[in-house]
Amino acid sequence: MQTLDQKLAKRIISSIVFALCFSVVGNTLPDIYYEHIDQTEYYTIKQPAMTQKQYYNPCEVVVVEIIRSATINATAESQVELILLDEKGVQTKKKISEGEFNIERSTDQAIQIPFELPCSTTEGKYYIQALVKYEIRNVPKIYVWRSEEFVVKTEVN
Amino acid sequence: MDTNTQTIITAIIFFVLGNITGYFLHDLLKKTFNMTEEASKNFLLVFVTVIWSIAMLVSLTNVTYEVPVAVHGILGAIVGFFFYKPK
Repeated sequence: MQTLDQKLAKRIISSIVFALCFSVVGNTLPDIYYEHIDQTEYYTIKQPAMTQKQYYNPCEVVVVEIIRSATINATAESQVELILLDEKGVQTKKKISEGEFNIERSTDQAIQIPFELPCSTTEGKYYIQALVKYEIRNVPKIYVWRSEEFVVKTEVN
Repeated sequence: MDTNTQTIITAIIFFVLGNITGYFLHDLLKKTFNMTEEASKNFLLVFVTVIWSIAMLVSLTNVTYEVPVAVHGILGAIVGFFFYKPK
């Protein structure tokens, strides 16, 4: 027959073991889920994003209207590229903007973002593509959006 | 006091509180619902496990909600306390 001390000691050991197991499983399971299973897009933009005009001059500002939805509040980084499409479908990329911004929980929020075309931009068909990086539970997520195509010509009025 | 020391002290406090809470809940069930010793222990064990499972499910479905480690510890301590059955 076990004494009270022995029973109490075994109860405490059982409590410690279960507390550790619950803590390890409880802490690890969500991390595994968000890293390997979760495919939710927490930030989306209706694509292609619209531009105000179809024809632009070099040095001109292209205003892109994006309609975004987000289910979380977070800080994000974006890298924006100007992409030239040649006749053979080959793409030439040029970085035109990068920076941090805040993602706010919203549904179909319309925002206008200006992007300045470099003065060295040659004539051709282009579109703007942005890579947005944010984190969910320390798991990095990437979202790519692009604008509709527009044409850069010299001396457009 | 640095963060690690604070965390350890918090964990110890929650562990002790978990054991005390479990003891009093067990006693309450026996007196209020006239449960047998065995039935009240099993009820608490299952009830706390279900609560923990629900908290885990919420943390998986709601990206903004995280269950604190101390809560996992205290619930585990209660389940462990009632899981042990002396011979």
